Amino acid sequence: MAVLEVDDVSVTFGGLAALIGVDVVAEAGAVTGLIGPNGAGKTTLFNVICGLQRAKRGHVVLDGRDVTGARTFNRARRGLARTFQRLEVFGSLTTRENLLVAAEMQRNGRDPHAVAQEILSEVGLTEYADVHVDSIPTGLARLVELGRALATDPKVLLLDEPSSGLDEAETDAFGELLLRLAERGLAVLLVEHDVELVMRVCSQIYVLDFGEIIASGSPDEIRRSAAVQTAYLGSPLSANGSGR
Amino acid sequence: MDWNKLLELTIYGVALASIYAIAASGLVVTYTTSGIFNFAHGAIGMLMAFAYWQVRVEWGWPTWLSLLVILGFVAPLTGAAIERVLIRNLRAAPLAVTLVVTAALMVGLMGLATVLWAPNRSRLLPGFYTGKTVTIANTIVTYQQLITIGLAVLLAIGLRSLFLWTRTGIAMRAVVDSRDLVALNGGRPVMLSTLSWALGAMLAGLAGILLASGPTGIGLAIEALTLVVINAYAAALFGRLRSIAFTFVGALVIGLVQQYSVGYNLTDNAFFNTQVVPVVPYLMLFVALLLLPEGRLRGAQLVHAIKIRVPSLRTSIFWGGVLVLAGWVISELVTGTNLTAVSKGVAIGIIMLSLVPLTGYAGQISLCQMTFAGVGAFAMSRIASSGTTVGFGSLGIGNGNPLGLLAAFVLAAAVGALIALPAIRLQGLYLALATMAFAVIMSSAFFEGGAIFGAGSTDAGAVQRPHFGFVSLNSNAAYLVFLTFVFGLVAVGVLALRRGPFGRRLLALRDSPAAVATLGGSPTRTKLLVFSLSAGLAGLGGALYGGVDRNVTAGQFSLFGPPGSLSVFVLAVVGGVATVSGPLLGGQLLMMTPVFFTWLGTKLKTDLTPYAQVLFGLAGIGLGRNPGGAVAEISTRFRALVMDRTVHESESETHDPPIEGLLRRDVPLGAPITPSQLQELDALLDLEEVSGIGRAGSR
Amino acid sequence: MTPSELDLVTAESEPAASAPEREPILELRAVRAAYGRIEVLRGVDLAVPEGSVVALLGRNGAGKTTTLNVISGQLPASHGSVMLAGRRVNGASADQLARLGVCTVPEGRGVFPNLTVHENLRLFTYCGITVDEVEAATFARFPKLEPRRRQLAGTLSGGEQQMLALARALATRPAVLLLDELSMGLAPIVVEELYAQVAKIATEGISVLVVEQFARTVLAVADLAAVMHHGTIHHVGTPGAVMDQLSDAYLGGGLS
Repeated sequence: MAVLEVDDVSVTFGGLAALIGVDVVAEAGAVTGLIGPNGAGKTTLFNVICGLQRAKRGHVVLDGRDVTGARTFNRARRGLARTFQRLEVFGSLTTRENLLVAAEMQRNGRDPHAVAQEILSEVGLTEYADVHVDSIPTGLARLVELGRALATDPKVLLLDEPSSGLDEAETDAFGELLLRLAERGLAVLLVEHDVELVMRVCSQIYVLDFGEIIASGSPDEIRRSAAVQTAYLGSPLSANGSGR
Repeated sequence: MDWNKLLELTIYGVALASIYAIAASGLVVTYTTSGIFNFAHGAIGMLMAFAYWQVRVEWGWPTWLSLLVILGFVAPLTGAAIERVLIRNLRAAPLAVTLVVTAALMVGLMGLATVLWAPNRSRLLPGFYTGKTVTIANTIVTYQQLITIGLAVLLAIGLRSLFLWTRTGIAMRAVVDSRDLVALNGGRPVMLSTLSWALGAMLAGLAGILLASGPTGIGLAIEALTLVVINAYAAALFGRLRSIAFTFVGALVIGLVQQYSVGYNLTDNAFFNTQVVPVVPYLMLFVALLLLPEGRLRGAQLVHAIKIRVPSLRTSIFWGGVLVLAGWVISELVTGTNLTAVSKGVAIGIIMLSLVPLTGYAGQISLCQMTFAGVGAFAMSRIASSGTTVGFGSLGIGNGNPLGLLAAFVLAAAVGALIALPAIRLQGLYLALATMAFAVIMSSAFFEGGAIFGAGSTDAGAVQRPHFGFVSLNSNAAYLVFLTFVFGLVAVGVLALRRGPFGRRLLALRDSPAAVATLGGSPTRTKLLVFSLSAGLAGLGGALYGGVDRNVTAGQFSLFGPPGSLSVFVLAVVGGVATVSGPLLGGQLLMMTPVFFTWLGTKLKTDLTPYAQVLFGLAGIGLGRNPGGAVAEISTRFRALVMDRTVHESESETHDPPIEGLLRRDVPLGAPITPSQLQELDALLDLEEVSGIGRAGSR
Repeated sequence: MTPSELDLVTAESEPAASAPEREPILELRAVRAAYGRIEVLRGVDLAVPEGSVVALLGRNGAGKTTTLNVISGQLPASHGSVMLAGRRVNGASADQLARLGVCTVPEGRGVFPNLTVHENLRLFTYCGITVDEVEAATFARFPKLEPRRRQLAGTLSGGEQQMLALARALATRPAVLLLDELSMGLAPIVVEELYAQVAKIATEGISVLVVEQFARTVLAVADLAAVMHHGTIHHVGTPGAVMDQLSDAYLGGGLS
């Protein structure tokens, strides 16, 4: 079931098109990948989805309801949560307090402290529970952001380059965690530069280039797509590889 | 239609607008180029006007020489020195820190002016070509007015040429786009920043001199002159602190509106004419702020804040008890004016506590806490009085009814919410400016003029002490104990708040408003709540403060005081606005330092009291950078001493690379590379014909 | 890292027979750098031989831009040496290095959007040349810019903005040109045009270090290529040799 639908979204920055008619669908119970070169517009799309950036055209539909005009916090209350590429942790609070802030905003009647404790062990941060977040390594701080997003009990989870800063073992464990979350019925939209990770965990992948979706499909289809190769490596025609 | 009158008022208005334009464009140049908003701009203008008086009148120098020395040397050097010493290191600092430092600078400069030119005699600054006039269409225009307008026109042309035709000017505009890119283009952003502060100080000085020597009736008065230069901030906001052209337009609008509202008696209401008209520029500043488009939600900033341990409920109650005990001991030992000063210090401490959730936790800045305190004192004087009818009337429910305190909290909180509703969407700097404008407006249009607290020392200014049945607070000693009790209570409450969900939410909001919103929290609502709570606490403190003397004056609740919102803010930060012990220290500093200086002054037979303000300014500048404040600083050092550990773990986090040690010994190269080294380099590499490091190849 | 170890790194790149045996104009020796607590460069060794084009490739987050920031003086190295023409220049500020002949075109657009083209060019006059000389050199190479002299740089197309940024390298005749993601957000045909100009600049004796995601285009003009991974240089070689590694580095394997 599609929990998140981005429908024909366009964004311009001072005349420059950042997103052009983008359609993306995220299904519940699956990890959907969004890849593309630097500056392709991935983070802009996330900002549009969560309401930090106004779209010039198009709609965002969350759980069957059009939220295009809704404010950021109202979208969050409807079950949208995200992490940020540039960390947005609450550095002067401890890991536990970061999770508590998120859990306390929910009105689902669950005890915030219990939620926080549960998530601490789920994302593997128990050790760092009472450490101030601005003194833990970046990779772990990204997990704090993930945990914080989970503490809001979301239906849709947007992850913006969550694995950067993690080493290989941590990345593997992170991939497992993503699959577990999807199994639980969450719709995960993943922006990631670690294409290996994307290929492993995603069932559907969108490729964004120059603000446009140039390809979408299963990991195998994406691997074979000529358009994707061009986007990432440049025009195949000029690939003679010799010096000048 | 009286055309002559219109023309006359227009000329007055344009002349005034010219002064605003001069001051405002200085502010804009400084802000855009250095990225730091200079709250002390008005104080610099005031200081330069006094310096000009010193050489022109006191030392009798000729006018041209005085102007040359002050505007050509003293002002630019002052500006450049301030940039070098204070501002340069603030580039990466959070906004709150830069505001504290420049606000403290403002306090310090005003103190300095008081020290150098004690307001115990009248000083007059002669105008330029006094008495010389020309007549245009039956209207007399003074040379001074013509000169003022002419200077503004020259400045407009000069700035335009600078920014359009010189490399330096173009680079100053380029810095607005990207500081780093200017450096990559071989420009020196640091030099541009220094230059902009020199230019800004010069323009502030020119505006100050024109104001003080003009027919505006301000003359050489420290506060009035500073405030009028601040009028220009409104003009700068018309240009969104960026556009010089719009700044000039804004100045023109403000100058004309002000003169027309003075000249045409819009109403016969004396109150309106004497109390509201003077603050028209501040009203416009407020409106200009409200018209600013809403900024996007800010993301996280890289701030290395000191982590302050939050004591548990039991610990905070224990220390609250210790405090009351100490209050009792002091009340037994100290008498007379000293007892009054200590008591006022504790009351001010309660007002400063109101800044702990707002500034310490949520990172918002308010420069109008004494305004809320005044509202609280007003509520107390009206509610808990025996029923005298003055001004707005009385709802007297009996002498010292404790409900007065509740009323003080509620009324101040309501006023806080009212001001916050339009202003809260403003971020950082603009909120600080809006609260400053509010402080000036309230003080002029509400507190002053006798409607609220009465003129002079009449009964109308009386504020009752609360009265709790069997407990008598009539003795000053008992009242001090009561004040420490309330302080302890509020402090315990503030700490409980910090440990709870709301406190966490406030810190989260300071760290990243964008993240709070994406988690489902409304940043606006949270800010509104904390602003209102803070205003309420300040109101409570104000009611209690009024009870110390059982009397208040309008001046106490103004921007400058004493005590005044500005000093309250600066000293709260000095004490440490993220802790509850900081306000205790800050309140005592604010009240006891003048007492100490008076005592020292009588010993030394000189008047030392003005030095207190200079000291406040210096303390604010020094400690403003450390968000932990003095108390945190002392306790960290003390703990380190006791437990024999190294001080400041946080400082060791970032250390400069050991450049010197790694330098190759055969190359006598310091950090900078000199032209002679460049030639050596060229020769070494025989590059002249190819491209050359630098420019060899282009010739 | 000692100089002898450094030799090993260059020895690895021995197959790059076309790489000139000249003194490196720019050299990084065991450079480490960090943003706050986050160490991004973990011992980078890289040499740019005089007059050559070196491409620095790698996945996002590998530390390419950080490397350029260290060279251009925007970020201090915490360890190691940045050698410019055989001298250690650690600690020199960005503007000092710029006047010394290190020309940097940063990521995004290296122009001032709110200044006109003319005013942008005016700012290139820091090394003792007149604005007329700058304009002459610029418009000779990029005639497209001439009719837009009075236009705000921000209103130029992306390609034109990069031309304007590149004009600095032409006009000031630096020793070293650092280019960061020249291709970002530009159509492939524009990118190829820009890199043709870069190749021309290099034939005039200016050494170029290019950071690029558009790997194939840049490899067509490069003499040497270095692949970065996790803050270190993983591999140095001829463009042809590096091309084979690229799929791994960018798409995580599996690409033809």
